[in-house]
Amino acid sequence: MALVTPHIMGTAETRKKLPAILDEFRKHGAEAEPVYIGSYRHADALLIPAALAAKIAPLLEDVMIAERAKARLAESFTPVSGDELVARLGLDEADISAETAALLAELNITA
Amino acid sequence: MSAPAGRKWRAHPAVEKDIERLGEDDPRLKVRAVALLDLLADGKVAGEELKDMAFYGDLSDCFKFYFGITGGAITHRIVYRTLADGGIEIVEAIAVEEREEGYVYLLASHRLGRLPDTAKKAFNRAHQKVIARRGAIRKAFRQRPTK
Repeated sequence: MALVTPHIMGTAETRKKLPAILDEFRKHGAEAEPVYIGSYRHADALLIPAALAAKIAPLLEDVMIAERAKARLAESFTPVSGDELVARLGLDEADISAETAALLAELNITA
Repeated sequence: MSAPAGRKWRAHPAVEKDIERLGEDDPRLKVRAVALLDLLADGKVAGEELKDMAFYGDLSDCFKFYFGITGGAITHRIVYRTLADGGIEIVEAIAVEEREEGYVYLLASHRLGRLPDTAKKAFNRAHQKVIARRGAIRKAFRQRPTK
């Protein structure tokens, strides 16, 4: 990891130097230096060679999957079974059967 | 009649209140929500897949199914997901709510702990609005003229 603060190019400078930057990317591939773009010493974007993007894409995917998995593992509730919920709601099985038949008829589904 | 054991669906604990509330609008809606969950669990009907929505959060493992009362408007939505439980596919209801303004998605995302920070304000606002509306309906019901 670079310890030196990267040079941040403004949009005007980037626009002007873009052909040269692309030449560098073509010449050095994944080894070419990334270009930070932003303003007032604050980087808003990072321009990297397509070859480097292809290399790190699987890593980024792993990070995204890990974050998704972490969020799903954080789900902490104890589900209630359907039977228990129906009993708690005090619903009559005959009413549910009649409603199921009505729904099937409405949706044109054969039981 | 007692409930037959072995319903192939389960629900987030808050779904009980969701379904209970449906009965305040129309007692038949309450039965209909349960009948629909039975049909979803039996694979007789299937909902529409949800996406990883930037605003509501990642609900890409969930589905939605619209419903309403016979001959009436489609007024409500069930958000559920399917899970493998010991080799059996099981439907898990996450939220049953009114269709209006995508509140059900915010609620489902909140219950699954996936609500993005950016949506928390919108969720609280929508939640307060729903509570206020329900309160007004209850008040109007209590103040209805009686014979």
